[in-house]
Amino acid sequence: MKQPAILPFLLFVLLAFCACAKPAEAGDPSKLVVYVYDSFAAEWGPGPAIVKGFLKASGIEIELVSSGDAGQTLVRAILEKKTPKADVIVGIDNNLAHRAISEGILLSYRPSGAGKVPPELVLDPEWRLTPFDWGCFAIVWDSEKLESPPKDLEGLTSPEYSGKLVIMDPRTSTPGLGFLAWTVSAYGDAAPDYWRRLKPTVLTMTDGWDSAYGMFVAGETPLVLSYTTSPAYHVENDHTERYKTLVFAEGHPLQVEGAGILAGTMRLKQAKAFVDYLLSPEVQALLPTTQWMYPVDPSIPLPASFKAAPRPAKLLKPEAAVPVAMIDACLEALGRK
Amino acid sequence: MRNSAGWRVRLAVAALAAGLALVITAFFIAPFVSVIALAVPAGFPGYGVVRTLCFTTVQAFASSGISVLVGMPGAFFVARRIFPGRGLLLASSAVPLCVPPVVMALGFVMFFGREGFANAASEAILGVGIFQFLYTAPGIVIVHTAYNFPLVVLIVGDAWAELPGIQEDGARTLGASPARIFFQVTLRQLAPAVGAAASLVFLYSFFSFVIAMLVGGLSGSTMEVELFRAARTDLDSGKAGVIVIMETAVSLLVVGAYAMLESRASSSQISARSRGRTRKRLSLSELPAALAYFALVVFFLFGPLGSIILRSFVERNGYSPSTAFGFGNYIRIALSPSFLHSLGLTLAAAGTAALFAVIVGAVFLASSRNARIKPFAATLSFLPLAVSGTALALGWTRISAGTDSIFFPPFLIIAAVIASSSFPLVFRPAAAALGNVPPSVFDAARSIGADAVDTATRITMPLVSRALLSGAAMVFAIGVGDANAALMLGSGAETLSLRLYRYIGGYRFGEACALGTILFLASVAVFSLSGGRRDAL
Repeated sequence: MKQPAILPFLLFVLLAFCACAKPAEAGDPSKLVVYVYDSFAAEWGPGPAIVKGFLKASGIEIELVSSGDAGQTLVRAILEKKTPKADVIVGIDNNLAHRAISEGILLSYRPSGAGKVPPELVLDPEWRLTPFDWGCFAIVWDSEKLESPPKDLEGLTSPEYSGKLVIMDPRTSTPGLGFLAWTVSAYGDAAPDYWRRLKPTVLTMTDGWDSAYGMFVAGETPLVLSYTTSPAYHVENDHTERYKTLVFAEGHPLQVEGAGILAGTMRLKQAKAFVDYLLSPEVQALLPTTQWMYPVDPSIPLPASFKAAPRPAKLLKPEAAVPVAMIDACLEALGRK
Repeated sequence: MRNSAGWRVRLAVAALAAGLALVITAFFIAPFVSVIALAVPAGFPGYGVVRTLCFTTVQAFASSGISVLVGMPGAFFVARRIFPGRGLLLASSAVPLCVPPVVMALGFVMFFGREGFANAASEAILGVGIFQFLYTAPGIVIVHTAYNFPLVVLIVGDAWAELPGIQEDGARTLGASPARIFFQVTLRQLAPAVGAAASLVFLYSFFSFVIAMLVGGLSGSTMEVELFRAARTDLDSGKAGVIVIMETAVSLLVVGAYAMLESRASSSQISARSRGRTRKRLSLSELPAALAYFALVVFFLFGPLGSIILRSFVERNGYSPSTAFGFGNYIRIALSPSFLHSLGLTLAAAGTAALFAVIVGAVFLASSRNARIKPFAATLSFLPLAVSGTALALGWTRISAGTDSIFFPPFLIIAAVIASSSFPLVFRPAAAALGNVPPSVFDAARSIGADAVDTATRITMPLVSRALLSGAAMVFAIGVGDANAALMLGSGAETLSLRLYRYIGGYRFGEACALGTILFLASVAVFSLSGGRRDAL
């Protein structure tokens, strides 16, 4: 009986790549450890340029550590509260800010560029979180697939848009939750009734932004929940203006992302320098075409492609988290529960 | 007379393998226990969750049942017939394992969606788009079946190829009809493999998240959504722990029911010397049925897969008349600075995971004392597959928060994490194969002085090598497609699948489809390699 050939093959693979696999670098005491969400650290995200730029500007090395989405990163920081392994956490948005602050994992620090941040973008009066970019949730439409788009949230419920919208589940997605908060701010307690009227328009509700937006660019639906800035990406990279943002009269919910210094850091001075650096013109100018968000410093010129990303006249800043009962009532009205 | 030097070497190898098996199983047990330990103070999560649990179970049960029905003809063809495309059918078992669900879901949308190829073709021919199953509850079952039935073809096909056919011949001589032979002889002999395959599809469908949500429209929601909400959105670890216990209990209950059915149905034993029948060419009378079957396979599986591959050659987002085709996405992937490192890391991690899983599977087999495994043990052996990836990720986050960094090469840790939750793919089909070996074979070995190490290395392992090889290929495919383990380690280790998630999260769908195609081809290559060897055995 012959022995399986796969074993020597696997041994070969093992030996061949032992050499090329880098050893783990976590825990290097000379580096400032920064927790980020996954797409921040991607090759085309702002992470790599920030690491290089900060080293050049301050001589301090950074290790970016990503362990999934922002929620997962926050869970990690909370679990490590007693024995912190990182110095700074980046990517806590207004939805997660309350939890991060109430857990007591963040230190107050008002960075040197704080004066440039418009008051409506400030996440915490005590500056335990420093805002560094912001965006608005919006419905984006495909102008080659739809002739007349809706003008407001109510317009979305019109029968002519039946089966033409894809949104994300508020239980698993930040934009999904942002959309729900939008309807609650527009309709108050009557939001579940709105969702009942919206039901015929919703083709499906995906787990996250990526699969919904993938359906949209594949041409399956002409309307998708995304960001006001999404069309700018297509102008910049795909050289097309077919995708456009719908600006609704009732205003658009804000998403502000912030960074905070983790309590217990042994490198406070370096951590402060890093938070200062996030508000520097160098980083702020990097954000529009890496994060596809607006910089918090309004004096930073935007790239030409951002002409396709209209700024809504009215911005909605949710003051409190949407109650779980309201989320469940809206989902029930949609038939998803 | 025992050759003492050779015996010592084999003993040392066995001891090393057993030690490694202990370490690898700890990689599953530690995060699992860490999560369920949270559940104690949390209490009952509410009736809404129970309703969701019922919906999840019913769709997974239906998906597994229909996958078995669809997979059985394929298993027959690959086990007993020679035909062109046999290797491709076997290699397609890699699809549910290595192509990330988000890419596959988009493949189904591109092919069966309202604007997809299938409906465009049917509108051109019939004037109406007839494929309207997406965004409905039956749609979940159809997509899970189309995606998972190749696993049934692979596992049942392997077992079928091993059946000696003596009993079938006996029944035929006694005048039994082909249908009666199939239901009363063949199916009973195949029961362990069918049970193992059905359990696997059930588990994959039960823990389906991206596909169930996208394809199911507004029909209902699965338990993974509730778990995700508790673990990542509400950050309620107590509730997450309760949901994990509920999910695991129900999934094991169904897998246990399959195991009970297996143990009742399978009463056959094959001779240790039998090597199954040789395969015949397709006869003319079988041709229409075979063609209809393969047309169905091509349409439902290769249609969506082909759409992904086609999309990978589209240069820009959005289809329009001016769409350009080319290798731009592949070139961009290949030219990115860390691509080669990601490729090396992925192959090393997946290859090592397969090696680890084979070793753990072999140790479990050798220590199961050769007899057919009891339903309880069979059920328990599925445990690592019956725990959701979201739960294990939460467990790892908790463990890594309380420990110092581990100074091992990342690929080794990734491999251990993947092997720890996927080794049942090696162990279960191999145990099913071993179940058909009469105990007299092992009694005979003992009577001539063979000890446990001799029996394991000279009898057990050679008898199950075919199943081990299939299992190793499956674990390799999982290793190639898994992004969870790499995420757990932090940014130092960017596997190809993690890159894929980053592409798709950053508007780069063309690159994501191109990378999905590369992951699929890498897995197919390993499947073909193991398949080729199996034919030579």
